Amino acid sequence: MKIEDVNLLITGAGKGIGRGLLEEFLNLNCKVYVFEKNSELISDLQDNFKELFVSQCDVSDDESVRSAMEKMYNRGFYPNVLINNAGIIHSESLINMTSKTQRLHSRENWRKVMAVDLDSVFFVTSRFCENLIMSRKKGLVISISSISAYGNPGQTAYSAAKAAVNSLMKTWSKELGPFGLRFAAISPGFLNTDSTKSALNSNQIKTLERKIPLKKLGNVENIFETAKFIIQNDYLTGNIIDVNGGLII
Amino acid sequence: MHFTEIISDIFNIEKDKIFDDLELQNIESWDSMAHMELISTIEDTYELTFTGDEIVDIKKIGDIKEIILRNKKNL
Repeated sequence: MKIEDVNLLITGAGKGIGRGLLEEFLNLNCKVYVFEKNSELISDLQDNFKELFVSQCDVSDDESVRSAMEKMYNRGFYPNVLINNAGIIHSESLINMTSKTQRLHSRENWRKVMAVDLDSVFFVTSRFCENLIMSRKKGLVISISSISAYGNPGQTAYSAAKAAVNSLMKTWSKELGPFGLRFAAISPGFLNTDSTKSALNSNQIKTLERKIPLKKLGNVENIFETAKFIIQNDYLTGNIIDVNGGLII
Repeated sequence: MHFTEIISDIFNIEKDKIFDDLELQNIESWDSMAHMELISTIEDTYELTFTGDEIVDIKKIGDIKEIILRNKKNL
């Protein structure tokens, strides 16, 4: 697909990777529609990008997704590329050995992570694909996964959700490839973003950089370049593309 | 591949049991995945594109034949 033909729907583009991708695609004059849950971030997006379409949407809630999709179509926006970016990072081990009473991984946290990081991909992608199939148009789904999908100790729910997202990309690429739909995931390692800086202190980041073969954190532009490559390569589907500086090979 | 062969191959049924009024829901191996395979195989073989409505409206074997003929293709 040519970049100039892209009509992009991106979820969770108010900050972080999503915001970076949004800005890069707008710089290429792509038409972009955003699903964002946070009201403050929506206001910020609307203040900064006057022409941008934004709908408030909780992508972990199917009814919210249905309503936002309907609004998007009513506005005459029919995306052919979806980037499933919305998500939360949550760190919690299966057994908490520091507690005498609450040793088990919180069930509530498990459900929340699964809802935001996995259910959302299922809800948004299914409705996106239904429209493309019924209108017999080609399209592409890119999901932002994580290096944690390989299995990251201390991130039980998050690792499982991201591994499941990778599996969905492979499954749907086989299921819907004959109908001209492509699927891929980008699996970032550690990026130089606010969320990394808030999760790790400077010493931890230095230690991490020593472990990464390319000796530095990645950045959002690396993720954007990968997304652009996936869009432009019409023979690519079902792939999980690691962008982690060689941290896991 | 001939039309009857395609149907026989996808649904794993004998050719002599394929007739126009045979309803897809009465074919044991018919399900969503088989339906998708049917659509993509017919599209590739006869170089045509079903509309979204046609995909969901197909009820019996004769409906598929009708679409092929409507697209001016030989069975």
